[in-house]
This record gives sequence, C-alpha cells and structure tokens, in this order.
Amino acid sequence: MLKLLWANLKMTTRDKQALFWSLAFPMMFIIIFGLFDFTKMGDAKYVIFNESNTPISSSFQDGLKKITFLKEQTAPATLDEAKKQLKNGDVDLIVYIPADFKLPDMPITADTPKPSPVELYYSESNTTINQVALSVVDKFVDQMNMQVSQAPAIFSYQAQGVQAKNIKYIDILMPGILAMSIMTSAVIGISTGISRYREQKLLKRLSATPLKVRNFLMAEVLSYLIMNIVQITLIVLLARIAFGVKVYGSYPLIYLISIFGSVIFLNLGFAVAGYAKNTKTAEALSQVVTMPMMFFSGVFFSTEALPKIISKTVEYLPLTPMIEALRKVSVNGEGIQTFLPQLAFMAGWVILSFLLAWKTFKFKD
Amino acid sequence: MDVIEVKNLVKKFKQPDKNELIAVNGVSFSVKKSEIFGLLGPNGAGKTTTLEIIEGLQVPSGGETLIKGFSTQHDLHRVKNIIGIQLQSSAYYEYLQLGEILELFGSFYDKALPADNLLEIVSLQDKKKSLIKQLSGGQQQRFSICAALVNDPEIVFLDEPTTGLDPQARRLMWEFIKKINKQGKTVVLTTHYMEEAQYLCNRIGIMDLGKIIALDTPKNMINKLSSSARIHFQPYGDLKRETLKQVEGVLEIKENSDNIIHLKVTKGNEVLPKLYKWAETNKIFMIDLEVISADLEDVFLSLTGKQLRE
Repeated sequence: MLKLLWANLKMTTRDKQALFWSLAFPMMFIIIFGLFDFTKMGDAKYVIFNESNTPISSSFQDGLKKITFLKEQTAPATLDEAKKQLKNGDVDLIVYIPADFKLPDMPITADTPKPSPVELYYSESNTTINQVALSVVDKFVDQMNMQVSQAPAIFSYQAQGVQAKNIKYIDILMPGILAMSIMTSAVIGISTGISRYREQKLLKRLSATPLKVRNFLMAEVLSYLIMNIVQITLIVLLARIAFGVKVYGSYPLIYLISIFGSVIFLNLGFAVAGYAKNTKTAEALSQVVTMPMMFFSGVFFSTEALPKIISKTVEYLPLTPMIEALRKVSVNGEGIQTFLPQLAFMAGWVILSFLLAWKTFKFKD
Repeated sequence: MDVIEVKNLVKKFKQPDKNELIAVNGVSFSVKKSEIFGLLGPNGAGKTTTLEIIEGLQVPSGGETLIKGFSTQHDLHRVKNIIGIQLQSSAYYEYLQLGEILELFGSFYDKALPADNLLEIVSLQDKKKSLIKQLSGGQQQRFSICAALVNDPEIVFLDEPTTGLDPQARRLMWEFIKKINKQGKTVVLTTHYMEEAQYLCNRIGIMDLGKIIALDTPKNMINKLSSSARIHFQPYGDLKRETLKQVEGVLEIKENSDNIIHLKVTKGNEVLPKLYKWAETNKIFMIDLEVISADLEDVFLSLTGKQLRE
C-alpha cells in the first residue's frame, strides 16, 4: 500500500492539470481578492458649491474636508451638471452653500433674518452613504449653532477608540478559499481521476492483481490528504506573505479542520465516481455537487446576506460548517470548544458521505 | 498434466430489452502445462468472456474453472499470484515511467521480477524512463505483455495480443510470445486471426456463438478437411470441364470472370501430378499455377458456413 501511495504522490506532481486545479487555482483567487482594496468602496464622494465668500462658509468647507469619510471631487460648472453626476452615481452628495450664508449680526433675536439653509442633494438609492453623510453635516450645523448661541456646553461625550484587530476582507476570505480548494480538489480530483481509471480499464487491470481494494482506496485517500496539507500550507503562506493575512488562532487546528472536511469531500468524490458511468458524467456531476457550496456556503461573503430560505438550507451543506469553524480559528482566534456543533455536523457528514460512497462505488465494472 | 480446466462454462447477460444474451454456452476444455493454447473465433464469439471468467475477472452463470486445481470462483486469491494477464485494451498509469509501473505492480505480488529483466524480454530496456504515451502502439502492446509477466507467472493469459498492430509488429509479438513459452510458461490466448492461431498455438479451440465447435491441433483440423488444398490456374487452350472433373481428387471447379480456374482438391501433392497429366493429354497450358494449402479459414468455413475474417 505504501508503494501505491508513493506512486500516487509522484503522479500528482507530474499531472499538470491536477496541480493547476488544486494549487494554482485557489492561489489565483487569493491574489485577485487580495489585490482588490475594498476599503475604498465605503467612501462618499461629494462636490461643494460655495456661493458665499464669508469666513464662516470657508471654515465650513474646510471642516468638511477634514472628514476622511467624505472625499471631495472637483465641482462641475453648474449645479445641474452636478445633479446629473449625482443621478449617474459619479457623486454621492452635493453641498450647496447659498450666497447669504454668513454670521448674523449680534445680538441674535427672534427677528434676526436667518441665512438660507445649506442645500444638500443626495441619491435616494444610496442609503448607507446618505445616513452617514447627512448625520455628519447635521452635527456640523449643530456645532455652528451652539457656537453662535454661546450657550455654555453642558452635555458632552467622550469617544475612545478600541484597538480592534485590523480585519481586512482578505482575512475573512482566506479560510473560505482554503475550504473551497480542498472541496474542489477532493470531489473533482477523485471523481474524475477514478472515472478515468475505470474508463481506461486500469481498475480492471488492478483487480487482476492480488492488490486488495481497501489498500487501493486507502492509498488514494492518503495521497489526497497529503496534497491537502501542501495546499493549506501554500495558501496560508501566500496570503500571509503577500497580503499580510493574520491567522489569529492555532495552525494545527486549521490543518485538523481541513483534513476532517477533506475526508467528507473525498467520500463524496468516490460516490460520484461510483455513480457516474464515464468521465464526462463524473465531471458534470462533481460540478453539480461543488458549485452550490462554492457560492452559497459563505466562501466569499457571509451567509447572512442570503435570503432566509437559502441560508437555512445551506446550513446543512458540509462546506458551511467547515468554513465557519475555520473562520472561528483564523479570524476570531478561538479554540475548539467554540465550534463543537460545527464539528459534530461535519462528523455526521463524514458518516453520511462514507455510506454514500460505500453504496455506489464498485471496484469492478 | 492439465494446468487449466474449464468445465461447462455458462455466462448470461441481461440485455436492456429484457432479453438474455448467452455469451458463453457450455464451454469445456483443458490446457496442458507449457503449451500455447488459443481460442480462435470471430468477434462476439465469447472468447474474451471465457478468458475473463478463467482469470477471475468475471463470475460465470454456471460451471467452474480450475487453475492448478484451485477454483477461480472460490479460491481466487491463491490463483492471482501464479497467473499473469494482458487485457484487450487496458491503459496503465499515464504519469508513471515504465520502470516505475513495473515496480509498482511487482509490489502487489509475493515475488516479482526486476523491471530491467521484464523490459528486456520485450526489447524495451531503453524505454525504462519513458511514459506510456511516448510509446508507439506496438510498443505499448509489448509493454502490456511484460507487465503480465511481472510476477513470473506459470500461466499467462493474453487477450487479442496483436489486434491493432501492423504486420511487422504482429510478427515481432509472435516471437516474444514464443520466447515466453520456451521459458516453460503456459500461454492461453484469444485471437480472431487465423494465421496467428496457426503459427503460435499447439492446440486451439474454435469458438462461435458461445460454443466450442472444434478442439484440436491446427494440423489435425486441416487434415480432417475433405479438401486440403486449392489450385488456381489460367487455362490456355480448349478447356473441357467434363475432362477436368474426371481428374482424380478434384472436388470442385469454379471459374471466375478473369478466366481463372479455381479447383478444390483432396490433397495438393497427390492431385498435382494427375493434373499435369490431364493438361498434357488435353493440350492445355496452365499459366500462373498456384497451389494453396487449406488453412483454419477453411476449417471455420466448413464448420459454420461463415467466413472467419470480417
């Protein structure tokens, strides 16, 4: 059996196609997503028309500039052009300071003419940005009012920043990519590999030798698990070195969860190989098995974003608990106690997938 | 001494249209130690199925097969170590070198021959580090034969060993098979090539439609024919058929559109002088005279009324 295991490993390193799907493919994902800087997506672009020449309006304009969330763009010639930009989404907010925006003469009485209001134009469809932008301007206006009224400030608040982990999207993404690549290389790799063996009658040739079926299967599974370890190491290394991804939890746990999940997917691969009559069917069937999980199990984004019905059913797919457990270790740095339910779920899938494989996979045709 | 015994073998397959296909319909024969035994028949005769049942790759519907006294149906593991097989068209690992494949297969057995020796038997030593896809079709067939010898088996089963090879590669293969047999190994092969059965085999079983219709040495089978030769010639002169019919030993006279006479005769060497006498007497010149010995093709035809070649 060991000789067969060694032969399997040798063959995997020589099989360029298999290497691509198990190593290059997931690394591509990491690189692409790592290069995307998602932080830029949260800013609000605004343009400002300042019709008044007063010092107070200039300080208002300066004050806005200091807010990092708001990014000033060069204003177009007219307000109408700016509104067009707003409609197209090129700009998120228009601030229009009217000509009569100035400090009124003191003292301020009920009869003092109020300056025209600052006009704000925002896109109704962009609710998140609007809320933040409007509340910023709101606070600003409040402060100016208070300054003018010279009422002593009684109420105040203190803001204190907490040194949170600098979690970037790529930190959340990496465990998802890890789990996905283990799943695809296991299901697609085993199902197409074994199907090809059967089609080419290699399995038949092997069955004529004294080699025992269980030794054959063990050698296949073990060689894949060893490849998984290589995969995990390379993906984590790449994410760490190239994009500074931090694994906050323990590495051995990551390997453990991954290997545990891998067994599930290897069994599923055997089941597909057993059921499919030829390699083409095996390829197609393994896509059917892996694609839904790839998109809905939370590889790229949290499952909370999905409609309730889908997220409820997706919970039962084997990839979902695996990714949850991996994220708990990698992102939250938690120990094994926190994801025992996920492990239990995966254990159930190990048994279920093994039974499926047992039922459908036959050595001889 | 019989190393292989096949007793009343039956194999039925269920067809998609609910009918039963009887691929092997009561086949019995035995194979002696160190002989080359062949199953000759057209495609679909049941040769491969029979062979695979003996090898233990398929389970019979009825009957049993014994190798050196061990039943392949009940004692397969004992049998596997002493036989070697070559499948009709199996591939080997495409990313392992030839030497590595032989080593790997060797590790499955109790004892194995070194890869170098095996490759030498089929003259592929210099391809030890090549991959299967780098070999020609003939070389691939040769490799699959030496892969069948990896455990130095006493009995070797070859399923259509030269199908798909060009004539030169085929002859080369025959020499390798003879070489293996000279080492004392018993060889059982299936083929639909008459020349192959005639050249290689000590005894053959002719199969058609799941049954063995003749079991003997090729020579005996041919000698049993009423006509052991055919004579062709182009007649020059005034040919009278009735006189030709009277020549002793002439069984059948046919004339084709090219004005060539085809005779079926009892024994070529006996009838030939009589034919010359007839030609002299009747003032006929026989141009391009050919004497063709009967072969297994004729045997098959006389047994089934069908051609062996498709």
